[in-house]
Amino acid sequence: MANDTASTALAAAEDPSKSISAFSSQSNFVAAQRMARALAESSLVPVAYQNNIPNVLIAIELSARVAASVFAVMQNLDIIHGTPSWRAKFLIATVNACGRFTSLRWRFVGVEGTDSWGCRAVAKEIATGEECLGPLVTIAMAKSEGWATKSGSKWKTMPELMLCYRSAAFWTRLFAPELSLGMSTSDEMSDISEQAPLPTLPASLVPGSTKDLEAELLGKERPAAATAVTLEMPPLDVHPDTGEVVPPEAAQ
Amino acid sequence: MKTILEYPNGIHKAVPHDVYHGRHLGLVSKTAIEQVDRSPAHYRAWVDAVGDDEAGRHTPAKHFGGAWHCSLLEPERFARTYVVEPNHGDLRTKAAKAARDEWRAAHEGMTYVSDDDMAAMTAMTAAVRANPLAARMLEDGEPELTVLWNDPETGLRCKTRTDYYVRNRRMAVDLKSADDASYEAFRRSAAKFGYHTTDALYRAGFGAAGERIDHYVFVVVEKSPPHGVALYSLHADDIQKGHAHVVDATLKLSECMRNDAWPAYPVTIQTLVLPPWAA
Repeated sequence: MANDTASTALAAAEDPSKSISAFSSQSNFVAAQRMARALAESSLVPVAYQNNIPNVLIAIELSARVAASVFAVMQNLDIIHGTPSWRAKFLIATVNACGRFTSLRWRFVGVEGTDSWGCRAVAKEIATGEECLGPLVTIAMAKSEGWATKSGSKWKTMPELMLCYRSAAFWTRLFAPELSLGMSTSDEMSDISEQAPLPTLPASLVPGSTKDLEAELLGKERPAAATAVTLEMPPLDVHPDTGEVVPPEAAQ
Repeated sequence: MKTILEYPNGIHKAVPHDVYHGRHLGLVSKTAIEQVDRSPAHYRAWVDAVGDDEAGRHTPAKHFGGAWHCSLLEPERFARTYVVEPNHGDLRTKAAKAARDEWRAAHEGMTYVSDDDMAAMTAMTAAVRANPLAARMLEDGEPELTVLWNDPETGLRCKTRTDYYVRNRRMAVDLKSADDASYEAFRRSAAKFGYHTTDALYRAGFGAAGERIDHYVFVVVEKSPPHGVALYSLHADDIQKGHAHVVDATLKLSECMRNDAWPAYPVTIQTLVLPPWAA
């Protein structure tokens, strides 16, 4: 059930100590800000991050905490009615790649097509071999909670996938809440919200950079610092081979 | 005179205003969406109001805005169709009324603007030309382009019309005359009049016609001195909300069309909660 792309992205960032924690020091913040500026100018990142350096900075910080690539975090972090939330497939990939548990699996109960149908997520803790059995999620629960009766609900069209996603979210909340950083999944947020989720903005409707337009209209190069947060910071030393920022105290 | 529905999908120049504003059942537009928002019954009544003189129902603000758009973007059409009406004096007197009637008879078929309004429009145009960004935005483009397409989800026909489109910059300009062009005032207007929906509709129409709008900019000009000019572009999140609004309203209209059912308000007793500002 885990998404291959998300797993690959997680595997690529095996060592969280090598990621930049944007808010841990002044030098890391400046380095992260430079990265954020470059990413925010890319048209390949989701709309919520385009020309939005603060959002990218938060994504960089989260990527350090969950040991995933920034790009994977941006692709899998949705803002549902103003609240950041993980896509369920990404959360499952995070559990699978964390190294503390075996990959998540599901045990189904009841009769398919009836309200009794449901499943539990299950994995073993590698260190102890102990089985970690998650809470049961059933169609009856989805109906009584009102998840399955909302307009446009995926519970109506793909109930098996939603059972797996919801049981995985519950499992993570019980056995490894540190992996989700306390955030819910996108489908949970959509289910509990009074409002229907907004449809994804088609790529053809995504606006361009207004700063680029201004520069174009005025016939000049766009100033490099036009969208950056300006801070009084000392210049950074960057390792010539790795591109890693060397803290000032280490460079001396 | 052919109707808007007889035009093929695509981008059209110089579609007469009367033709563009014709109301047709199932034709999606910004105004149609506003009517559907109120209720399908209101939409249907609006469509069925045959012979309703839309131009005649324009508010003074809309009349002024239309004249200013025309003078700035289509000066030749402005010269052909508008005329500045002199001050006839105190219209409570018979002499002034007679002078007005005589003058209007001599200018039948023209649209009148007062000399005060003309002076304001001239000053507003000068303010736009003096703004380095706004002035450049209104170069190398085309005014009043009409776009027609079919909604990919429902198949319903859709229309929109831009004030000014600059193809080589992938930019649409929306001119707004306002009493107050400040950030706070204009964002209230944007919310009240659903400019995010207009934005999303323009982008969808141009996208369907094989073009793309990267920039949709509001050039807002104050009607009174010092005729401040402000430029705004909506945030992507709000364009997404506008897109959602277009999708929802189009689906609702499509369902009404399919069932030929045009309900007004819900047949239920709703619990009324006072708005937050009154609580």
